[in-house]
Amino acid sequence: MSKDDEKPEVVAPEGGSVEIFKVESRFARLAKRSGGIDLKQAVDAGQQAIDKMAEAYPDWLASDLETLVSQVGELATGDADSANEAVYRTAMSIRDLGSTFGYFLVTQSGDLLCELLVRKRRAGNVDATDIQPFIDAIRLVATPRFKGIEAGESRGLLDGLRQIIARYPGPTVARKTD
Amino acid sequence: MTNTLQLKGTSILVADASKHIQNVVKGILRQFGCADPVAVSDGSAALSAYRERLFDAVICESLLPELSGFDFVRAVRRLDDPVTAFNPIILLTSHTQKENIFTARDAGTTAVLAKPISPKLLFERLMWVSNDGRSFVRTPNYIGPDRRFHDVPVPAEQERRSDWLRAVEDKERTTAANHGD
Repeated sequence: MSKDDEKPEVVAPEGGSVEIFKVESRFARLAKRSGGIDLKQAVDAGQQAIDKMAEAYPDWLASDLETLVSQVGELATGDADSANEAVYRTAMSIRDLGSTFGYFLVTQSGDLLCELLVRKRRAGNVDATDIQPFIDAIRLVATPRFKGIEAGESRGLLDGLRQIIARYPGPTVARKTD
Repeated sequence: MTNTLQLKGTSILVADASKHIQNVVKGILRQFGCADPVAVSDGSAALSAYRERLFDAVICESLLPELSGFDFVRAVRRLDDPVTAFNPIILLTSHTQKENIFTARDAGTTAVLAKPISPKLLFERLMWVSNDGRSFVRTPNYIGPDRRFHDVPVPAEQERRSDWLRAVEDKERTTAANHGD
């Protein structure tokens, strides 16, 4: 099918304040063809991919932690704002991968590190203060004995991190006045 | 609506600053049948790749360096080519607060997928966008899928569409009534 065949059907005139038109994307057409996979097949197949990558995950995490430590070091010596952004991105990567590989507490402690960074930045504090305990906690919960443990099952483990976060002002919550 | 997804022959662009997350998304997509997903690490590279090659869908992180995922979506929706401008774009985000979802929606995003990624959630989003029957809307301030997900009548005082469009709809209703529909 040529590109001209795929042009959307515009149902309002050019130059009007609103144009509304239907588009069936090539993706939608291809995806609906026969021979596809259903949810169960997809979950099984996708899990196989994750199981294969799980062997590499400890190395990925170690690499992210090494990067994080180096970036935290730059908070004191380099451009603090850009270093802070870099630290935040690496913290996000750590947080976003943990649960995918069954390390729920890595995601949880990475999430708390992100929260700390957001609060510190909001408070105008972009130095390395208070970050190290979060790195230590991530290292701890990244060990195999913590794999598969959900946040709810680890009461108290991350409370120390939450207490550190509480030193910085949280998001402003609108209060009802009436 | 189908309940299966056929990704053989599709071309999908993945944009995420983390190489590890790129690997996870590409690995899952390959298992779903997409033979050769392409990955880039920042928003500018994503836009360059998107302009150079015909992709069928995009999965991109909202906080990309260089050009954010939101700005990437806005730029795609403003491309001159009507085929590529209206492709499905799934925005990955770790920030599912309401304001981020609204920003994604107002940029012209087709769907949002919260991290951490799982095969189930990724499959469900891909299924959803393949069955998404919403119209596209182009106004001076917005180009993208219709932001109203439900077919609920808009109260008259909130109606913001042009008088012209309303006149067309009135005429269609009158014509239908005259034909006894």
